[in-house]
Amino acid sequence: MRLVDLARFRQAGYRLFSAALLYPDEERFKTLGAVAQELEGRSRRLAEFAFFPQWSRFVRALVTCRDVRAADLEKSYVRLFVVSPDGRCPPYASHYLAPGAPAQVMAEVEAEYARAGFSVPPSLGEPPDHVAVELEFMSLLCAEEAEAWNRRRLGAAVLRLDRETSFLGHHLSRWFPEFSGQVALDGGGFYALAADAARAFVIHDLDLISALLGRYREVANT
Amino acid sequence: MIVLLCQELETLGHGLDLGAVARWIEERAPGVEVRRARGPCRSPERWLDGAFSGTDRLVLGLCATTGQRHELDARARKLGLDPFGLEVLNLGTSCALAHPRPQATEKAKLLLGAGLARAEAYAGSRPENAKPLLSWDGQVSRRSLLTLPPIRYEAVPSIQEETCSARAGCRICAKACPPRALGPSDEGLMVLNKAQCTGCGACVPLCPQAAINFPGASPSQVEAQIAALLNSPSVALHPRGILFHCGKGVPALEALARKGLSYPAGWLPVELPCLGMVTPTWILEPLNLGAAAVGLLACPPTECRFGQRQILEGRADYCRELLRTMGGSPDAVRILDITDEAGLARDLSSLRAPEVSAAPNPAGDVPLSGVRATAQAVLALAERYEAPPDGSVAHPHSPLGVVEIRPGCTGCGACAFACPTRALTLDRDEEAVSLSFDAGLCVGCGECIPACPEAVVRVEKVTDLQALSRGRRTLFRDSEVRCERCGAPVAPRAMLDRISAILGEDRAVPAIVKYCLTCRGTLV
Repeated sequence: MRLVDLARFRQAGYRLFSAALLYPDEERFKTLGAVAQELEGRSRRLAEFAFFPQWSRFVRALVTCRDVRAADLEKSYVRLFVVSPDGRCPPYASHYLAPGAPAQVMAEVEAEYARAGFSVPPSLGEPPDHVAVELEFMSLLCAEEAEAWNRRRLGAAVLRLDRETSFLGHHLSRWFPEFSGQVALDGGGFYALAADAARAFVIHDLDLISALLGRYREVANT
Repeated sequence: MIVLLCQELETLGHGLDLGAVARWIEERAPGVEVRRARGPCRSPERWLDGAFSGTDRLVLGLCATTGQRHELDARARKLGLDPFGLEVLNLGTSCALAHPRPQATEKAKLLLGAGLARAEAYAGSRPENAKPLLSWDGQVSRRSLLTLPPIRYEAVPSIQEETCSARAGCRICAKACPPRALGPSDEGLMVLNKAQCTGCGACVPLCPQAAINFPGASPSQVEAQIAALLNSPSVALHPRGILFHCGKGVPALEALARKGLSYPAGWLPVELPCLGMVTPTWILEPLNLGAAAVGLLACPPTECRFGQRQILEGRADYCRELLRTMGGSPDAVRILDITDEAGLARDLSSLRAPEVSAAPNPAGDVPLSGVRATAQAVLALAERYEAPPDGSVAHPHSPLGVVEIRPGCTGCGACAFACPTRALTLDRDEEAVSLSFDAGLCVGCGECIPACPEAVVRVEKVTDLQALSRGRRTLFRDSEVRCERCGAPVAPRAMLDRISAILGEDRAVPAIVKYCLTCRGTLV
């Protein structure tokens, strides 16, 4: 697999998870279902990756979501993420990293976004530490990385990999496993599958790009 | 569950009676389906097709295991199987090529039965357990720098935060980790640096809380495997010995088979990522179950990529010393070298019936992990050998320890708080504070020593049969001083005496020794 294709796939993966974890909208889920059906037909190569079992369950769930009433998804979303009566799994990084003091975490992620030239799209309608925004940011970094590989600018690509590793390692991976673990307690519902797949994807991504970076540093030193 | 056997095992080397093997499996495990196919050994991934979908466990019995593992894993994933739970058995090297047909067939039954037991005991993996390894071809070309090489995954341990006692100060796993990949986080949790972890598994069996998951070689899988190897009375293969080896041991055994150097079929291989995982408990328990011997097929000191040879030798030496003390033969525990073919064949050739009969074990229970596993193994072995009740072995690799409290203890309980296994506990009743110790729970880690503010704790790495049989005993007991105002507990008398001695004539002393903290605040 060419690294440009890998980066493009990762960009699409992050965007898919981001869109799935936003407040549900019937039109968006119809589009996601169509994309998922297309992906299901092309999954052969993805079986090489360790996140494939969780990924394929998520993609299947997206396909079937097209036929689910938006109101049912909305009910699950509100119960899990909006009302969250027992405060179990709010989809905000600050809830896990600095309970009761969200401002610092939000300021940190906004600074990280600013360094990468990313501003939270108003269409997302969520604060900067919302799970969908953070996954969308990773998608943007992967898009830039893909562009660098496409132009065969190794230095620029490595710089992007470095930024992705930093965001995943110092931020996303510090809270996302706990969040998804809590969502998984919801049983086999759509959001439990989405969070489980996203967790496997994020953990794998950090390991994979760390290994890639290690290789480039090794080459640079020889 | 499905067992796929390569039909060519019938004719490879001395051959196997696959019909007899299949019948034995089907009788022993009625829910298991045995399939036979010709030629899946070179690329077993090609054989994993839709016909296998729906199964949750798979055991492959092959002539050799030379296929591309990453392709096999990918195919397994596509079928919804967890690759770390796949059991791939090399029945060519272990059976058909090494032993005459009747013995080879019996051995194959045992290995497949054990493979099934391991597969059944497999508890699944988490994303944290998969470490991607990129197989670079070594050449640095522009093309290679723009392409993702084939990925394979190595299993690495993961920590269960809920059961880990790192927050209480336990560092047993971190101290045992050869590449220092384990360490406490700022929040006090034990975390694994995946990039640094080599997947040797040395930390796994040492955790007193069994809080480390290690898919593919978890203690529960190895327990199930050993139990199945040794507790299968319908298989006519005696005596039996357990042969622990790592991946490097496979070529060594292959070389023996290729050169026609024979050894008894009763040596039953148990493959682990590294022999650094083999604790004294793992050596002693098979002997309890009736194994004639336990072999440790090790890399030479300079070749072990995990640097565990010295530790392995120390543990084997401890086990031999223990057997000697119990009146048994130390030869039941052997270290064998993978690079010395002639020596290996010679050392394996003597597998005599065990000196004493196996203890009755109808449940087939082989507890290899858990806080009391070692003490149970030692006491069971002592019973089998009718060992002198006062026998003891002081050894730097003793997995058990004995704590002694010298004069000067104030009953503060810091040692008990630091103890990861609760071998030391501080208990309070109406009148007194007591510190008690259970030798059966002590792993001799020494975490209590630096915790003691009075420096009166001493830990000896000793296996003391008397102390193990005795159970919990009180090491320190002192009266609890009660608040003269409200009656609440203040502190043990010895602690107040010590505080008075330090403060001397300080005017705070009279209040400190009479009143509890709350009342002192009110009085002030």
